[in-house]
Amino acid sequence: MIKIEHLSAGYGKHMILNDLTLTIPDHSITAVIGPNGSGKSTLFKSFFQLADITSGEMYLNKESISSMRPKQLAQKMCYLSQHHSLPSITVERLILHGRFPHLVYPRSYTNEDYEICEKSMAQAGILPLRNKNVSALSGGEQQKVFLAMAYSGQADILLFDEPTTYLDISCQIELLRTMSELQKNGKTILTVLHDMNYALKIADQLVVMNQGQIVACGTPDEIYHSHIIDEVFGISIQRIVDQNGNSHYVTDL
Amino acid sequence: MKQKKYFIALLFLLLVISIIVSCFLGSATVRFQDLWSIFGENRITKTGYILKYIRIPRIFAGVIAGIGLATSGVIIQTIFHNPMAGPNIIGVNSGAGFFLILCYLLFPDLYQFLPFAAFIGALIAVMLIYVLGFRCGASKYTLILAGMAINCIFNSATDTLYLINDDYIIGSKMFKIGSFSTIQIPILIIAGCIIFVCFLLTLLFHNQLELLSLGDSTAKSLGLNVKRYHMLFLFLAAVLAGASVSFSGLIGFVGLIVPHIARMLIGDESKHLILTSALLGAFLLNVCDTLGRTLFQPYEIPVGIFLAFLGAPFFIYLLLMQRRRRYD
Repeated sequence: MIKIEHLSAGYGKHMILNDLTLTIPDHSITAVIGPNGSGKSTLFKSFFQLADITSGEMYLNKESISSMRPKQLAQKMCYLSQHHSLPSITVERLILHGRFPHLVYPRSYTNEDYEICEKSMAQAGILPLRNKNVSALSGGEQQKVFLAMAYSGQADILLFDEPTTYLDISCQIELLRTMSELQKNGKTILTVLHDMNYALKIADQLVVMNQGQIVACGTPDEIYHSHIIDEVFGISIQRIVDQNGNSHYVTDL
Repeated sequence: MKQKKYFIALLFLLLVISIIVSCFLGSATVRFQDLWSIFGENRITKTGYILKYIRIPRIFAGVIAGIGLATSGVIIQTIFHNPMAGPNIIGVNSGAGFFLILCYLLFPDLYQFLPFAAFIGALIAVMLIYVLGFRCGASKYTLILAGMAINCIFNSATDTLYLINDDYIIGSKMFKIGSFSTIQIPILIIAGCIIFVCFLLTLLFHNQLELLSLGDSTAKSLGLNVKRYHMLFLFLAAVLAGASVSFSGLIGFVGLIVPHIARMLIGDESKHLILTSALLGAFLLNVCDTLGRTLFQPYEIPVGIFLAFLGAPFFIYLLLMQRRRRYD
């Protein structure tokens, strides 16, 4: 279980997050939604001290995250950031780096690492791309490669910052299904999503952020009925139930 | 993968051939007996002496400086995520040069400390850029401009030292251009050992360097202690550049362009990139120095000039080829 207590963080003197308290249950999907600049990415970055934490504490299974060694944390938690540097290396080589937290001296990748890397490529559906150069791939393909890198780390907690970026509609749906599968296999997922329909449908817990604060946290049903999304985004979101009884969430243009 | 290994092996072979050929080229005609006399138990020949104390040290100076400067360039470009960075552009070489001259003027007898003085200068320059880049959040372009400013400061400081001691003005020209004509063997041995160890260390940590090329946030999220490795690699870059400058002068081109050429030829995978850059740097410097000292005998063109005339057009050619390939 992840526990965040009174977290305030930012970059230098520019504070973004203000006194955040949140609990993320194990084996669940928690979706974070909020307008641009509300602090969603900063929250994710705080886990790896990529943002400056001024006060508060984050715990992973009651152990303070700030006291963990970077490698120890990376073995338990994997973070897929919004933007990536794109080196001119092969897809396989990049995904192999997802195994870096598990490397021991002399820090060279073993056959086991290569096998896990192969499985991750298959899971992300990118096996045919294995020998291609990452920088020569399309945006969607690159996103899949980074997802495969995240899978190869085999961490129990996965942090995805806008993972559907650059993906076409079928790949987005495929990714959401993979997330559900991962959750069923015991993973805990914390993800930023901009698509309300996806967020409300896939999440076990929904966190709504605005201006560096958590303004609501609850099940998708609770959040929908509270109308907090309408208030924060200035939109009107409607639930439509199809003939199979599935809920879909739409907004007016 | 195998193709890359063959390519590196081929480069190594080319380097070895260029070293052997260079031994036989020069104002004194060298025969196999002369070369053999250096290693054999018989009396060393007259040309053997030239070979042993002038030509071979000079060839090895080119090879060692090529390895040092090119590897330093790879590290600096990776750490700063900036293809325009190079030890000569951001003031690392000139920092090393200033401290080297300062040490030489203040303590002329302590020549064995020259590589260390050069290292201190390179380290100061690299740390200034690091603090500016990472603490102040400077952009890629600001970083280069700041580096050029630091370059300018160190160069002016070196010029001031020359003005104060005008005995060294003639030597200063060669130092600024970069030349192997005045190699001192004891300095070369010390600097060579330092460069060899640092090169091996860079190669040993190639996975970590490659992780840093993915961006600091990705590297950190994969469990790399980014700050610690930044420091380690910048230290290695400063030592490699400083030790090279201590015997070769301010050869600018290698640290900037050679890693680019290597990237175009073999990609960004760190292990291959480090090896290719080092071999290419060594090969280029050796070939250019050999051509510089043989083409217009009895005159000699310093390696720095020859390298720019030969290497820059080749680099432009590669850029054009890469552009054409992209559009095809």
